[in-house]
Amino acid sequence: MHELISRYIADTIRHLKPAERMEVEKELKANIQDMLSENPSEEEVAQTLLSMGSPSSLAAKYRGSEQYLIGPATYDTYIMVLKIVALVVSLVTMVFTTLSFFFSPSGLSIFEMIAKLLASIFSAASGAFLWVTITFAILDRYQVKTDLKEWNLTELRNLEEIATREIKKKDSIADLVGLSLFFLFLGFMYMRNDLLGLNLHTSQGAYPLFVAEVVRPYSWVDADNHHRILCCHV
Amino acid sequence: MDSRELLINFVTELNRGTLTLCVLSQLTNPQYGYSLLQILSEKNIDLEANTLYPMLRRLESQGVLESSWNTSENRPRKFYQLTEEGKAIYAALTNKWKEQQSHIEALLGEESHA
Repeated sequence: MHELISRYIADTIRHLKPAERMEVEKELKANIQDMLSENPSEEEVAQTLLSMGSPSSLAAKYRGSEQYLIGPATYDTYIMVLKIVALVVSLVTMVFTTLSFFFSPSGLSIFEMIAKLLASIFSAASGAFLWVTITFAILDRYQVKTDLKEWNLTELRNLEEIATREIKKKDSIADLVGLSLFFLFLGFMYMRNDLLGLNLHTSQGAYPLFVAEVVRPYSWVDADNHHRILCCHV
Repeated sequence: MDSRELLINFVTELNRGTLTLCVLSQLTNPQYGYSLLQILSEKNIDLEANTLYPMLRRLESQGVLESSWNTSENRPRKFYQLTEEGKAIYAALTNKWKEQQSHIEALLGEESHA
């Protein structure tokens, strides 16, 4: 058989499920040979293959369904989660990076600080994007259809509920702000744990409420190390 | 998208279901891919090879067609034929087509006389 045909068929079945490949290969081979004359010229083979379209488009027709990383059914939820995660991650990163400037003065100019801040936010947001996308791609691939039950009119929200839903959106923004403040507080206590303590009126003085050393190995904002690295560069 | 492209899209959509009906109509007797393509093209049904071959396979997986390899000739060929279920579906689909055609005919006729 002509080599071009073999290559065309190989390139087509490559896109199919392994179980289907053998059969489609055999069938395509027979069909394409039927379309050609007994001893086809190079030109004839080329024309016939061109008329069949690209291997990937032919394979798509064999599969019968389009392939998606994140399909239309999941897309809306994906975008919603992506927005929330990107917002939270960016806020938290912003807070932590800003804090690290205050607690470990590094001699950076204000422009360098802003550049560094933007760079950290960008890198954190990229990470968030990556992981949300991977999670949804996996969900989408192995998804059992979630809304099997038939849609009914009772599922329509009445207009009042839609209004409260808007307030809920404001609530969630308040949540985000609250969460950021909490992380700010946490970061603050992590770096200056001597500022808040418990005074038991004993001779030993105040017990610190937060012990930074305990969390330090797990922390990604290690102010001391950070500072040292920057000093080396100067 | 210019209007010619738009028209092509509409024609593709219009053909999608009817081509299946055309293919089913010719499979009371077994046919292989290329012979079917020739029969249809003789009868002015414009169906591309790259549409027909995957369609046959899909119809088989749906249980409408059954296939068997004929290896007695010098070249092995896969012959497709309607199953019992396929015959019933083809008959029902034909009735549906005729019914729908008369309705649409009436609509279009109305339009041209208006």
